[in-house]
Amino acid sequence: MENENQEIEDYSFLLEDSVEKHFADINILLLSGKHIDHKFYSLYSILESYEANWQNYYKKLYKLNLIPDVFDGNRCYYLDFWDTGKGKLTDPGRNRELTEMQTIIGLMLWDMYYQKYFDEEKIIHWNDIKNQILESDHREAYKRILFDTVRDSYDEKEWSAVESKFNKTINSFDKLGWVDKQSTQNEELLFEIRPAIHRLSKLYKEELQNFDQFSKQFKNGVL
Amino acid sequence: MMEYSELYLKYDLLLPSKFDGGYLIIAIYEKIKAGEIEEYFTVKEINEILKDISIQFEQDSVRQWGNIKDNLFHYFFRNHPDEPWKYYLTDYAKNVVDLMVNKLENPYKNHPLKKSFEDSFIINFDEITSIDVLERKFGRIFIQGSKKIIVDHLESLEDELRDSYKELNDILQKDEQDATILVKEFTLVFRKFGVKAEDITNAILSKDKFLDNLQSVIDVFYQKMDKSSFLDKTEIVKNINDWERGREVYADLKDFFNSVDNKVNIIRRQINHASEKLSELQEQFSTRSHFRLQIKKFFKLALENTKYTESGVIFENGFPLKPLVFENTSILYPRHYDFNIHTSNIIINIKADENYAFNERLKIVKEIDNQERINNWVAKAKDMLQTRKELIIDELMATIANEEEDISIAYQVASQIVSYASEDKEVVIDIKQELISLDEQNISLWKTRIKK
Repeated sequence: MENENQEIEDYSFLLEDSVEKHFADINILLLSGKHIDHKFYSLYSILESYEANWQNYYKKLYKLNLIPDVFDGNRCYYLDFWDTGKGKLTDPGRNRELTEMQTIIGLMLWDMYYQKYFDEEKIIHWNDIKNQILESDHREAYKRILFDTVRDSYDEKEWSAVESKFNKTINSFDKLGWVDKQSTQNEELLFEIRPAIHRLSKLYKEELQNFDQFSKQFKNGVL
Repeated sequence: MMEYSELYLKYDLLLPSKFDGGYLIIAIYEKIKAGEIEEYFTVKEINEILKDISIQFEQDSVRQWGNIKDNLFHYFFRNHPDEPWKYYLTDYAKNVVDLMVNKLENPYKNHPLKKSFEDSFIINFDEITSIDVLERKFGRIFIQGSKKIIVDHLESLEDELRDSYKELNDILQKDEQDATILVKEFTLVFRKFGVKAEDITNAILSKDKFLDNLQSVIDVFYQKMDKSSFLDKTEIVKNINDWERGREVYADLKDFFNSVDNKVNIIRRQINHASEKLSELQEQFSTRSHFRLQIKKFFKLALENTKYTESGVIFENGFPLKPLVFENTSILYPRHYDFNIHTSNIIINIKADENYAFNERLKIVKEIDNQERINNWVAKAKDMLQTRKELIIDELMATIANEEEDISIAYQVASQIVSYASEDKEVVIDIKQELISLDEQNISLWKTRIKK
C-alpha cells in the first residue's frame, strides 16, 4: 500500500504485473462512469493498492479526480470532475448529464434502498417497483409522470411501456455500478441496488445542504 | 417413488379449499380441542359449524354437508364403527391442522436451538457398548427425527429473523422525528437478534462437543481393530467391519452438521449485517435522519416538477441536472460480410527442380548399393565361418571398414552376424570383456569370437 501523503510523480506503477493485466479494464470502466466497489474485487484491490498512483495518473493526464469514497459503509472508486472544470472530458461526447428519468428513478431506488436497509442485499423485483408506483406515498406523482393519468389500475400495454423505461434506466445504472442487474433483456426486471446509488445524493450535495434556500429560490423562479 | 402427478390429480381431496371443507376441518378440530364437541361428532354439529362459518365469513349461503361430504370422506372423515351416524377426524386431518398451526405458531420460537441440539445429539461415553448400540442411536435411519428437529428449528429461526428485518425496515420508514423513540423501538426488536446470536453460538459449541465425543467413540473401534492382529480371522473381520460402520455413522452426521453450519453461517451473517447497520444508525441517528428527511423533501420537490412525456419524463422550471464522467470507449468497424464473389482457381505449374531430383535419386541409389554390399559381406562372413569355423568380429569390422571406407557398413554386417550367431544353436558367441578400438575409427567393442 502506498503512503497517501507521499507525492507521486511517475507512472512506474503501470509496469506492475497486476496493473498491466487489468489496466485497460479499470481505465475503460472508470472513464465510462463506473463506480468500482468490492463486487469487482480484482479491479477494486488494484485501485486500492496503488491508490495514490492512480489518483496522480488521472489528475495529470485527464485532469480528473479519482475519488475513493464510502457509501453506507462500502468503499468504492469513481472519477469525478474537479470544481474547476471537466478536464480532458470537456468535449460534449465525453461527459453527459443524468437524464430526468435517471434522476427520478435514481431517487426512487435510493428511497427503496432504505426500505431494505437491514437486508444485506437490496434485491428489487419488477413487482417491488410496481408496488412503489401503486402503493407508496408518492403514488400520485409516480402515476402522473409515468402514465400521464392517475387511475387505480393500468393495462398490460401501459405497464409494458413503463417497464421498458425502467429497463433502459436500470441498464444505464448497471453500467455506472449503481445497481447490479441480474435479469436479461427479455426477462422481468431483477437487480440489486448497490451502495453506490448514494452518489446521487452527492451530486446534489449543494442543493441538499441548503435545501430550504434551494427550495425557496426554486419556487420563486430564481434558478 | 410415488408419481407426483397423483398429487396434482388429488390435490382438492388432500387439501380442500376454504368453503369445501377446509374451514370446517379446522373448526371441528378447534372445538374438539376446546371440549365443545366430542371426538365423535354428529351431522347436526357439522351443520351448525357450517352455518357459523357462512355467517363469520359473510357467505351468501350455507355450504351443504351433502355436497362436500363425498370428497371429505377420502382423507378427512370416517364413520364411527359402532355408531355409523357419528363421524371422527382422521389422523391425517389432525396432522394437516397441526402442521399449519406449527408453521404459524413456531414451536421453536421460545425454545433455544442449543437445547434442541443437546436433546437430540448427546453421547455418553460409556453408553456405546457396541456398534449396534451406536447405529441404533445415531445411524442414518434412527437419527432422522433428531435431524428434522434441527432443520425445522433453523427454518423457524430464518422465518423469525425475516419478520424482524421487516419490522426494522418498517420502523426506519416511519416519519418519526424523535430519534430516541425510534432507537428504543429498534432496540426492542433487536434484542431478539442478540439472544438468537448467542443461542446459535452455544448450539454450535455443543454440536462441536458432540462431534468430538462421537469421534472418540469411533476411535475406540479403531483401536480395537488395530490391536486385533492376535485374534482369529472372524474376530478380525468383525472388528474391521465395526470400525467401518462406525465411520459411516460419523460421516453421515458430519455431512449433516456441515449443512447445518452453512445455514447457521447465513443466519449469522444476516444478524451481523443488521447489527452493524443498527449501530451505524444509532451513532449518527440525528444527522442521518436529518439527511434522509432532506432527501425526501428534495425527492418530493423533484417529483412535483416532473412531467410525463412519451419517451420518459422532463423536469420543469429548470430543476438542475448533474453531469457525470462518460467517455465511451468503443471501436466501430464494419461487420465481416461474405459477398460470395468467386475467384477462379489459378493452377500454377511448378517447374521440376532437376537438381533436387538428381540428388534425391543419388541418395536412393547409394542406399540400395549399401544394402547390397552389406548383404555381400554378410554372405562372405558366413562362408568364412563355414571354412575357418571361427570369426573374430573386430578383425572382420576392420577389414570391411578398410575396404568400404564406411564404418556404418562394417557395423551393420557385424550386428547381422551376431544376431545370426545367436539364432543358430550350433554357433557359439564368446565375448571377452576386453575393449578393442578399431584403428582410425571412432568405435570400440568387446573382444568377440564366433565359433562353429
